[in-house]
Amino acid sequence: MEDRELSKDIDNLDRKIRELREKETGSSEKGSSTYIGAAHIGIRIAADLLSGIAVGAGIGYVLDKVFDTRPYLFAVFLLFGGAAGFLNVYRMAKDEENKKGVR
Amino acid sequence: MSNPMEQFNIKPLIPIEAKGYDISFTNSSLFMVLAVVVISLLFGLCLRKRTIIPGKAQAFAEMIYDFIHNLLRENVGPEGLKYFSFIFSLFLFVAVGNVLGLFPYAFTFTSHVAAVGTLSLIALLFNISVGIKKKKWGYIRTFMPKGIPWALAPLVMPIETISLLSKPFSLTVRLVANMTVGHIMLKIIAGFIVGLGVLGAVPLLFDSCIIVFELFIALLQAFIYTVLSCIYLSDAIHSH
Repeated sequence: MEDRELSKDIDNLDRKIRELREKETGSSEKGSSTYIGAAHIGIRIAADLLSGIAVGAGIGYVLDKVFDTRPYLFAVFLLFGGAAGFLNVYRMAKDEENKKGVR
Repeated sequence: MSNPMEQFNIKPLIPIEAKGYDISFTNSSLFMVLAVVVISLLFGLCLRKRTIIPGKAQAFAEMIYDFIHNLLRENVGPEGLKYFSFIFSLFLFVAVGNVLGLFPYAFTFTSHVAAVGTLSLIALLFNISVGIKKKKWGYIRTFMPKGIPWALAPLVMPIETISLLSKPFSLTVRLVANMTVGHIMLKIIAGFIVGLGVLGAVPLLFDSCIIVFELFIALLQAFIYTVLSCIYLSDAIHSH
């Protein structure tokens, strides 16, 4: 019985600490991390876009070599890759929106 | 001024060749081994005396553990805790690799696409196998989101496939770019310190600030790398 009460107390304490921490980090970090956060999103968008195209082009190149259909598959997969890059960025943007809550 | 790209050169320390392939033990491998040794030593020493009320060293080790534990629980959910060991190792390896690279004369293996890319590929294969194990044939549905007419399948499936395959690539590029850029910047500014003589105090001050910032970036990038691996893992587990 005592054990259970003790664990309940610890849980309560844990919750309180977490709430306080959220309050503190939420208010103090917002100002300073805005630029860093923006830079990260920028880098992420660039990397996502480019990696989509690069992977698409790579797949196209390899398939071309395998099927000996140069340059048609390369062109097609380059477009698919671009679409995939945009899809990645779109999903990321949607996730960010969801995190911040709809404004 | 010495070449700022020189620090990224891979030099074989113990040349080994097997069947025409060069599998030498390089400075990159040395620092990977070093990273593993540092991690093992850190946790071995910190957890030498295990008590219910942790001392400072034990609290430090538990803090890292808790940090990743919470990360997994928030990003993947309770079912993700099964894969804790994988994510934990990934985080420690990248974080310690980044930080080790900041020491003078050290080599940063996380600045090489080959090293980080392989890690990302392992993460990708891990995620795909988790997804297949969980959903069996239903995993194919990952490439065909709900509410899309079957007529569009030949268009959507390649795009979704490339989207999935490009994730580790973008993950790699981001970590590598961040580490490379920071180290080049440090090196170039360090070159001015010697070149400017007395005035070199200015770039010295600058470099001291940057190295603190780099330390922050090193840990942050390891954190981001881990978070994104978690998110991909969660996609593999939860997607419909």
